[in-house]
Amino acid sequence: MNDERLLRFLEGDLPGEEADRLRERLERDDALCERLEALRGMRTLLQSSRPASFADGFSERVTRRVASERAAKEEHSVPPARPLDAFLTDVLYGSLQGLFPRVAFACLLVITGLGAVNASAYQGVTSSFLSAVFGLPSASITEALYYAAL
Amino acid sequence: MTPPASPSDDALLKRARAGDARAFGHLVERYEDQVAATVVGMLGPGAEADDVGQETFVRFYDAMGQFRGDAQLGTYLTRIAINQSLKALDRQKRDAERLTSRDDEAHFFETPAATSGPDAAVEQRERERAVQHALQRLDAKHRAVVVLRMLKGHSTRETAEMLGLPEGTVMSRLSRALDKLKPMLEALR
Repeated sequence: MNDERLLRFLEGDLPGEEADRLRERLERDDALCERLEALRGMRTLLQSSRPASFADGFSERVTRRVASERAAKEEHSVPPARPLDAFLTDVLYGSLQGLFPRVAFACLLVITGLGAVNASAYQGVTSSFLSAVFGLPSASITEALYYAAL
Repeated sequence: MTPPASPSDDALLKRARAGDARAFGHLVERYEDQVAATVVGMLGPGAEADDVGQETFVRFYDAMGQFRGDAQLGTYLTRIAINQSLKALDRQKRDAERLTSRDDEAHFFETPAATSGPDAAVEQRERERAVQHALQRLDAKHRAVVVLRMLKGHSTRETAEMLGLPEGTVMSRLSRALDKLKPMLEALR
């Protein structure tokens, strides 16, 4: 029999029938009895150790440590993440507000440039001057398809 | 006139969660001996045990919001204390591997002096010292079982839950630990 079962017996962890069998065996087996007593003695010795305690002022030391760790955390804390709508409003909207006028101005420059090129190339043969400046086609889609089919 | 009843754990917890430092201090005072029994049992008395004890309560403070009261507060704190002690033992082991000083080790595991004098208090102190020394000779996993099961008197089931082990493993570790302790504690009985 191993010490584990004896220990279970001492702790009252053995089921009733098994405990009864062990009790019977203990009445006959002196060596087993000695082992049980040795185990009981050691258990008592361990359990009778005076409860340990920390040095005086432990509670104050803990409270101080908690306070200092909290202060350190607050000092190094990263500002909380901004919500998505705030991000969109401040960053995207702000950026787009600056971007749109620039794009519009660039488009106006391109249109004016192309218009000037078209105007200088105007020969007055197939379309009006205004259509030529804006690069409008001199033929309709149907006519274009007809010529393409030929 | 009867003195006012001391506030319950729940009441103190509620106040501590709301930021009442005094309530938290009361909880520390109420449970420091329980934590000490675990930590000192695991690490032996000294500055490191004190530090790990403090760390246990700091962790508890940080996790107070998540404590739902499924386990008793003492059991919950013991679980934190045993985990912190195991971590400390890990650190000790790593440090010892890096810069082992055989002299220190010899001193740490010094055989306790024989009982001196008839004084019962002295005898008791020597006995405790011897038990501590014997415990320090066990490896961490066996020591944890002895501390929780024998020194602190938790049931096998509680010990198993705290260590995240099956009950059978707790009992077999306990049995093996006692086998190792037997020759060391023989003279004291």
